[in-house]
Amino acid sequence: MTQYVLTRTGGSLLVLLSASVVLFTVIRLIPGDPITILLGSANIYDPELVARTRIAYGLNQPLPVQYLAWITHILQGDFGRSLVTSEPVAAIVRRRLGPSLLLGLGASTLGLLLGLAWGIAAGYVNGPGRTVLRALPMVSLVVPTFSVGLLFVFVFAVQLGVLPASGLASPLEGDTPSVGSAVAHLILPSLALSLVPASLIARLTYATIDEVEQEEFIRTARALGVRPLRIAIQHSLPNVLLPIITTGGLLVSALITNAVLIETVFSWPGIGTMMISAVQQRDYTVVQAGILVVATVYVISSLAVDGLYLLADPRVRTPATE
Amino acid sequence: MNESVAKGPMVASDALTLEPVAVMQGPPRVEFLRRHWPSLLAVGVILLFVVAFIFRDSLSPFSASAVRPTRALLPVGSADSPLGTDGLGRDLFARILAGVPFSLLFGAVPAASGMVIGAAIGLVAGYAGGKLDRAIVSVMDVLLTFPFILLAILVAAVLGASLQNAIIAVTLSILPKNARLIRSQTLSLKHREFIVAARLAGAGPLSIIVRHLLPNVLPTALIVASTDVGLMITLTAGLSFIGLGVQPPDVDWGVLVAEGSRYVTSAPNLAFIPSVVIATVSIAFVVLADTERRLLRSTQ
Repeated sequence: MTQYVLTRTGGSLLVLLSASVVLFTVIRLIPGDPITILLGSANIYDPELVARTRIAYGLNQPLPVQYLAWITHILQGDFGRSLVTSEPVAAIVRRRLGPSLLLGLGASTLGLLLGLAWGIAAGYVNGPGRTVLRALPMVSLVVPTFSVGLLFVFVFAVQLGVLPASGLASPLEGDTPSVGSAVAHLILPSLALSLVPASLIARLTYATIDEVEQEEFIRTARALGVRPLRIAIQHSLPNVLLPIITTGGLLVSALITNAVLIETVFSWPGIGTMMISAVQQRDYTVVQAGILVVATVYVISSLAVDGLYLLADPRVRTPATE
Repeated sequence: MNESVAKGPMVASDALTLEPVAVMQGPPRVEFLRRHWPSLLAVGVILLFVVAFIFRDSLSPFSASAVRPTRALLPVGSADSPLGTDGLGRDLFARILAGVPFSLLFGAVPAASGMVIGAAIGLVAGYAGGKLDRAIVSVMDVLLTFPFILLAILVAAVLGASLQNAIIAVTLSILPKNARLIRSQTLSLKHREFIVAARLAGAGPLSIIVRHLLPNVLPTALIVASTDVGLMITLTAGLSFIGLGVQPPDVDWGVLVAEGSRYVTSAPNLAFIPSVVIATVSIAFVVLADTERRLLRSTQ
């Protein structure tokens, strides 16, 4: 078990390390000299000043040394300043991270509940309902997430007028919404975002139920007269957990990708909208911080999902596995 | 999404083939239609898409970018503009037609190049085995689940937001899935008699891969590529929607949805008609792939 934990954690750190190296290298491929931006066009013709600044910022050092300096600052929480607003990037990220995590948490909770219910229904319902429930994931996985978000806005915010259509707080509340208002703002985006994970989970669930239905312990339970619902929840469902955990990385990744789209639809003040506007304004320090932070969130969540293995599958806990 | 391909027919094939083959409830032709309508419909949609591509310049009297302030925000069903017009009076039908070549490009190019490169990596890794295989597999496993959007944002930040760069990003995103799938196929093939026989007959690795392995993984590759066309159309529309894909004044369907989303209260048709078009074409390709998969299974 210790070995399992160590291997997984080490692997995750390696992923983050490679991501940071790739990011550092690729950002340096962007045409243009940082000195030009630092000094402004008036001073770049002063060779002595240029040379002095280059040394002051360590830009005369070899790239590996520059990387080490860069990563040290980042690990200390110093992401530099925004090239557009000069605000410290760490402050921007701190402001944006909370709403994104809230959205992600809301969507994954909804996705899991919705997906399990959907999968169980597709596994046990007979007749035309079965066909529909099983064909539906194919549709919901291909329909663009942003269209689903817009549809929710149109139906619930525009037509019915029951839920707010955008942002995390109503304009009057400023940056600190009441809990009720925040929850109301959270419902539509997280529901729209939960659809893709829910479809994936539903598909895994009914596929696993189909497999498990053939097992002797289910047939025995059925022969003993255990109620179908109890069989579903107590005997089939635990078997569904493992495939869901196995695809955990994929689920987290799908959630993150769609979150950027959903944040745009709902003008959600999160990391996704931050990165998109930073790309449009060529605010590279913000883009770079956003990518690093989201990659870290992704790695930590995947690791956490992997950790669930230990709880769900006793075989991993015993030695001589892995 | 990636798992469906690897694990085989767990998508709609189960749902669509529930009827036992032996039960015929009517004349054969009706029965054929009843059982295969999704496939036929999908082929129909794709043909329509191709026709729209070929005749895109002559199907609408308007040009996609012609601004007519007097015709702004016409509703669906207006004279000359059956799908309505946008805030600048541009005809939605003409703009959807103008988006067809981009969507075709966005669907087909990443799916094809992703499959060619992915298959090459998978064949080499699977056939070579050993350290090379392990190295490739571990890299692919990491990339497989890495959030695609970060890659797309990075590519857009460094190379600029554009059509080509969006295509590069989505191609990179499907490589690992394809490489892994073709590798596992290669692994199951490489100890079969005909490969061993070819090796005993003196065939080199390149010749075995190209002449003996490739033809055998080709059916799977084609099926996966068809699914990918559908997925890529949705994915790249998403990139255009957030401003990382096609740049105005060019329009693709994602740009149309983004423009339409500003009018969601007053003219919902502007966002929803392009959305329905994206979804329909994507689903058609996924159903097509599903049909191919079933045909392949029934011939084996």
